[in-house]
Amino acid sequence: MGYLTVILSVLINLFFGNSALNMINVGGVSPNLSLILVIMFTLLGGRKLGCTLAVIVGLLQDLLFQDIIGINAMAFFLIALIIGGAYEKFFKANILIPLAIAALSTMFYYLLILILKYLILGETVSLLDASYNLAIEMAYNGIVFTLVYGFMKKRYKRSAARFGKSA
Amino acid sequence: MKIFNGNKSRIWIMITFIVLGSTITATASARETGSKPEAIVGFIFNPVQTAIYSAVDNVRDAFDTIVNVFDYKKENKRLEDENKALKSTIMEYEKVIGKSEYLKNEQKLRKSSKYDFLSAKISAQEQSGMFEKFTINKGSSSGLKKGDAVIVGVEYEGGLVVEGLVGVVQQTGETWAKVTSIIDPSSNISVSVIRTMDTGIVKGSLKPKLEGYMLAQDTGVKEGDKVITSGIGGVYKDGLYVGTVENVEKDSRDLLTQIEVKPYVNFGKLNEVFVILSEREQE
Repeated sequence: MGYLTVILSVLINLFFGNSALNMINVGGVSPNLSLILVIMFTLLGGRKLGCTLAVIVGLLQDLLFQDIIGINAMAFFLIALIIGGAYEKFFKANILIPLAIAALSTMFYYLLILILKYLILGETVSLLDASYNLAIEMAYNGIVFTLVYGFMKKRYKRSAARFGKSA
Repeated sequence: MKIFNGNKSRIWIMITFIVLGSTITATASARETGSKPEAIVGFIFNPVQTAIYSAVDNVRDAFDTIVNVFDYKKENKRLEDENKALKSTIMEYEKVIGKSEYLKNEQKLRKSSKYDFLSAKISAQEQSGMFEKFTINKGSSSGLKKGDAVIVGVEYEGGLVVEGLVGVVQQTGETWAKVTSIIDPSSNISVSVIRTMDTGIVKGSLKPKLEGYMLAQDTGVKEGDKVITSGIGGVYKDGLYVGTVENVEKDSRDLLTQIEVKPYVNFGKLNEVFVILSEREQE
């Protein structure tokens, strides 16, 4: 099932997602590669892989940057849980749906972080200000997701076939 | 996949929620230093991230230089035409602009600043537009501690280089530190307007701007005013340069003057920063 692909993707995200991608920002916003990976592997490998990866990728981001550990992990985990379930039941046939999921997941991630920060710290952010970053990030994540998903889908199927397991 | 289709699956989901919820609760209170897992992750990944961040930044700088070469040439031609006698001056000028702005400002700042500071490289930046946080490659072993102000040298009026506020150290490991930038929504800065010395509060807004309000009702703040830290509240030292007032608005009942401040620091091009360690003794 291409575990090597998953591990390599996590490492690439950790080393390049937090540096190179930040330097090609648009209006100060860069694509959220962690979120893209979580969505991608949830769609490719199912909810179990997605949820596991969500916790690992989220915790790594939290341990590296956040004061509150678990905030990203919780948001990513919820996203993987929801899209994993819904996708398996309803959407697998339609190839356009994953794109919509990437954009909607970005919106959902923002919403979750806003709620969690408000509940934990009492911190409020203007929805108007957040919507500016959100609009850019939804579009940016959508584009990067399309490229990465298209590339990884073929590779993932190939490696899944090689290991004799279904994707 | 079976593990996720039944009671066992629900139990796992519940356990994950409980563990993550507990971690969030346990770490929500202010912490001086990082936990063991944070120390391990920081220790392993920080050096690699620093190297990659610097390498990527060099590539970007090289690209910028290539783009700027055409501008420099055009400028030289114009100056030559205008006054050939100024050729030598132009060459000097080219040398100066050829140098990194950071190094130039560092040299000036080290001379003029009343603070002792340590230079550090940014090793990684948070990915989401919901946070404005980054890590640097210096930590408690270099004398950093929570609450230390992070600055860069920024050019002020008349070529003077001053301390432009970037953010504050929120947590330290031995060889790394987490920094919250001033444009992160969690940052609150007590500021003074240089011209009037009126005080106010500004906070990050997820935009490359700070938003806030003045404390006094009859403040004379206006667009273009320069804003520095006031030192009130003790989070930031006083006199660090925050930005320029871009917009002033009175609320409908004329009680509160709301301001928007454009930071001096260009957050899109940060690579190296300084951490203020202490105030220099007056000679």
